[in-house]
Amino acid sequence: MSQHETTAWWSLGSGILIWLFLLMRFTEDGRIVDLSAGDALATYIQMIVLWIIASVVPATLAAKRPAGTAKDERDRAIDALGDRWEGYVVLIAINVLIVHMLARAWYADRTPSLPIPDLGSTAALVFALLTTLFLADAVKQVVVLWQYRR
Amino acid sequence: MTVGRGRVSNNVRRLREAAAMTQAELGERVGATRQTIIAIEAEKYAPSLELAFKLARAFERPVDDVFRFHAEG
Repeated sequence: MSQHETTAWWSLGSGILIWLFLLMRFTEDGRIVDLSAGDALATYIQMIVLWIIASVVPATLAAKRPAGTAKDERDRAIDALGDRWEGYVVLIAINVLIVHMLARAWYADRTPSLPIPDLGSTAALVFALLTTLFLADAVKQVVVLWQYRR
Repeated sequence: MTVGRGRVSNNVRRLREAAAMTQAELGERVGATRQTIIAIEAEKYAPSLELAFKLARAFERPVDDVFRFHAEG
């Protein structure tokens, strides 16, 4: 397994773990809890710190074996494909959130028949946006791994 | 005349073995990783024009001897 593939596995795994941390903080019994702005900010900062640690570890390990770290044209092409898919996911997810929020506002006087999350609170919106970023990154890593493995 | 879709085949493995080179050595010579050489030999990755020329040069052959385009239809 190449260094880039190992890094992609690491990014996928650490991304899922950090998202699970967010899930633990932002939800309770499957529902988004209305965290205070201070708690949401603290969770956000903790997530940033975890993300930095998760990014530094593979970079440090890679620095110890510099022979395998150089990217060639195939690595760059695979990265570009992963970035493209990441962009698609962000584009779709942001549009889903926009439509969702507009629909909620439009039908404000009706009770939804489905358990649709209310993104009216700051915590819910922050969680939805962070989930979008983590989902997009997970899709990118899966595409990268699939390209290396095919 | 228009040229439609097609696929690129190559003789990289045969030429590399004839030159008694390892995949890592060939990769080092052309500035690619061993994994990329493996992918090219397995025809799972079609290299850029630049890398194709570098590979041909590494084998001291014209590009046509190393890579071949098969038009479909």
